[in-house]
Amino acid sequence: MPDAPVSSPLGEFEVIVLLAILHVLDRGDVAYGSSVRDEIESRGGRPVARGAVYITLDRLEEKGLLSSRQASGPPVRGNRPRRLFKVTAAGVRGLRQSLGLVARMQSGLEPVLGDLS
Amino acid sequence: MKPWIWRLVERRLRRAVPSDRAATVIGDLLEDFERRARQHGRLGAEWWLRGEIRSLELSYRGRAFRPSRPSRLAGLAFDLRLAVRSLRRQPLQALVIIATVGLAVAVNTALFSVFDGLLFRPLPYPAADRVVHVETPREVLLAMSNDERTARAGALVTTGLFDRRAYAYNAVVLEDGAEGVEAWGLRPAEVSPTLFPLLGVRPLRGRLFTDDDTTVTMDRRPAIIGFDLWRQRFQGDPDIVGRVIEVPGAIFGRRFEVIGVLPRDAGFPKGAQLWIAGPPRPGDDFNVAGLADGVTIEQARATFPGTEMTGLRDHIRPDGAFALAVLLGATALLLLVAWVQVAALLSARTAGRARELGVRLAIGASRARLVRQFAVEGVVVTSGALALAWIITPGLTTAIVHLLPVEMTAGQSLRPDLRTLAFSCLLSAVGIMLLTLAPVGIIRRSAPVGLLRAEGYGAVASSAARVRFGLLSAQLAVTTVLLYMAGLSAHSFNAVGDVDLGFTPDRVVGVLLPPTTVIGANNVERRAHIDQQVRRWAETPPALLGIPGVVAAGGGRLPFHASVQSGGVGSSLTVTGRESDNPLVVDYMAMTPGYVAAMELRVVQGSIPGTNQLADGPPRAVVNQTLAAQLAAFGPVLGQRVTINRRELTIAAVVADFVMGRPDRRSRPQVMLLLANPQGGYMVARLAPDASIPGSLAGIRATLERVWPDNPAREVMLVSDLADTAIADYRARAMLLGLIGALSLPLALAGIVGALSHSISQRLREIGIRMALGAEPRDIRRRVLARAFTAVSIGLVAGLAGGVVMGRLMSAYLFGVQPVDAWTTIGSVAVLVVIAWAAAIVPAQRAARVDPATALRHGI
Repeated sequence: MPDAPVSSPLGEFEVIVLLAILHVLDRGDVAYGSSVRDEIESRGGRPVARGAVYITLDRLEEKGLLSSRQASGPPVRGNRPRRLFKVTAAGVRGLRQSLGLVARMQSGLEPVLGDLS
Repeated sequence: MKPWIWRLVERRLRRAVPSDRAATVIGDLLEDFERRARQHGRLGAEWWLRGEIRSLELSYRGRAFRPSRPSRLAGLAFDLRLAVRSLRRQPLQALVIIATVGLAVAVNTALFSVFDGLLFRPLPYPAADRVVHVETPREVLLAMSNDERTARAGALVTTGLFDRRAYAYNAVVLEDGAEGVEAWGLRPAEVSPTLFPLLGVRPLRGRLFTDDDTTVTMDRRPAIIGFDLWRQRFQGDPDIVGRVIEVPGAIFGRRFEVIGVLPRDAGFPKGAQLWIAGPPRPGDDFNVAGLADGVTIEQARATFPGTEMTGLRDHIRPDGAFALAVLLGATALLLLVAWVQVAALLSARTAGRARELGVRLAIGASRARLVRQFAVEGVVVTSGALALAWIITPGLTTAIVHLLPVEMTAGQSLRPDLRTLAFSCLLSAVGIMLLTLAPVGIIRRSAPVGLLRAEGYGAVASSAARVRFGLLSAQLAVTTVLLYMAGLSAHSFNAVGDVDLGFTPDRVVGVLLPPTTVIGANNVERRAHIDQQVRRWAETPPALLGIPGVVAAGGGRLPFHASVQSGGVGSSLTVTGRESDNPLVVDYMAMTPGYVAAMELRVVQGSIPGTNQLADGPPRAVVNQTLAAQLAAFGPVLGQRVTINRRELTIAAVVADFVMGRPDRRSRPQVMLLLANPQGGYMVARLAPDASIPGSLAGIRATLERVWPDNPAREVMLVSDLADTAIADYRARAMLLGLIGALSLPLALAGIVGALSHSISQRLREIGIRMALGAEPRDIRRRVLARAFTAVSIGLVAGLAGGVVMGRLMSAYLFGVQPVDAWTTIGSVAVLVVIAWAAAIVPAQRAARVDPATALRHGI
């Protein structure tokens, strides 16, 4: 039984941001703007605009796929809080849909596409 | 951490990043910066930081204008930005629209405020409705017998029609031309203590006059001052009441103790700003009265035929109400012209943007969105225009008030009226919105593809071009009417200025000496006092002649002076031996031979006897040509004996008609009794052509103070100045109508350029085809010019007809000019043709330079 569809399909960068958050959290770190961006840059191997990350985070939260809370950070921030993100159940569902679609579309094309990782 | 760079970060990001996110975003940036500085050094980190800030700004700014879900406010900001950008794309057009509307609103407000103030606004006197101005003209009095006069005076005192009486006269407390008059703009008035309660005026500060204030003192004469004087000269001094003020130029250096300040705009009579309480006068000496309860002004008029009774409003308001209505009409026409202009510009603007709108519709803009866009543009244009109007209206109003003769504006509240400004602004705003949105209505119904091909709008455009042509013709007609009216007024002003006055007013100084007084405890003292005055009158002309630069001096009435309006008119004259005939009605005055010389009156028959000859022999008189023509019926005029005021005079000479009152009135028959010595307060002196006028005036003042040590001259003035004031209303009309006409010309120019350019851009394809088929540029140019001159011809024919109609309507205010005036017609035609030529030549050249290939390829 496939998951109930989320309101709108996820864009490519949205999927990447969601996955990056899951990676950061999986490592046991806190997911905030900089750590999410670092994660994407280190795994993707290319620079990502800081603004694009923030705006995508905002949009995902608007869609209900992320939730955030503010928490204090290290002293170097000068009393400025960190905004910590978690992926909501809907976010996980959305990811499963998007990635599932890609997986289904790609299955059988391995000879053509080769190893993707 | 260098603080300056963090201030930069804070400043730039707080502007770019939404406020609820800014702190966390800046915190993240800070954290990364520290890490980076540790790894790559501070300088590198700072460069990196700049890049990050720019990237954040770009990202967030892009999001603000993302069409997906913009906030209402952001959408408005976007529309505003778009409106400003689209106006800046065609800055000249935008500026013309803003300037036209702004000017139109300002002119409208200024003129309407003035007209409203002159004609409609209630007087600043609460009780004015029940107050009448009462005056029995001198000719009516002269026509009565002594008994009738006494009876009339008594009846006016005892009648129950009036329950309150007061008087208000111009006060003689300042020297004419003195600083107090010139710089302070004072028109002092002498009033009875009853006047202000009668008018319903309450003092702003202090109190009104009581009977105790009527005692004449030199040192501290109680005075009430006006609001403007208080504010401008005494800076609104709160302690003004009780202050003793000195007014430069006050006779005998008189000082005034301020007992009260009147509210703003209270300036009765004639814009007075300084009032003194006059002494008690006989009961019949009043000129303002309050109607008793239940009495109407018509009843009062019927009871006292001959005595003029005018409601205070009519008395204060100028009688040229119709002339003002004509001006008001002219203004309305001017505004119409301006609006036609704006309508044409705006419709051309929208038509030119059909393609842009088509694109926007095609890529998904909603039609409501486009309408909103146009509305915002309308608001931007309106704001600019109204700001302009707001800035220039006060100055314009003041300028117009200064153009009007002071007799018309004195004592009235003529300031820019905020309600009028608000009303004009509102009308203009509604007008611009309608004009902006009307073409949108057409576009909204068109399919985007049609707009892109300019098909949908093409059909509309050709009918719009016809409407435009009609509007242009109408505009030119209105312009012609305005030019024609201005021409008629200017011609009248010229004609009235060129009237042969019968004397040469230049370099003649008029002197008004103290009025005759009878002072003394007994007859002997009174006699002595009168003798002293007679002696001084006789001494004055020789004394004046002793001043260097004075070539002639004599006694006689001052032309154009207020005193001639009422004095000596309407006396009865009979010819000796023909007493049974109806008496002739003539103006009667006295003069010395020196007066004839000083005024340079032209003697056409006989000769003026010398002063010595006058001492003996019968009383001699001089008559003017108008009277001589009437007297010729009774035999030769010279030597004829006539009786006037029971005195028989022998006519010694005839002089050319000369103007005493207004140059625009026909000469009345005049008799001048020749006296060896002046017997009254008027003197004239002629200055030599090379004499300095200020120097001579000072010399005359000094001499008069010597001859009249305790009672110096009331007024010393140039007769040429008086002559100018006599035709001030002609000048005012000519200037006002000229101003309105001049304002209409640039509008006409813009109208022709706009209409032709528009029509050429609409017909580009047609022009291209014509040229491809072999038309010469000359032909094209001729076609464009012909089009312009068709509109001009229609406008001229309609406008001249309208001008003649207006001329007939305002014929009472014209002098020496017929409504159908050849010179004015020629002038109007010439001006309009020149304007049309200047306006049409540029678009015509442009059309002639059209490249047929380009025009056809554009496929408009």
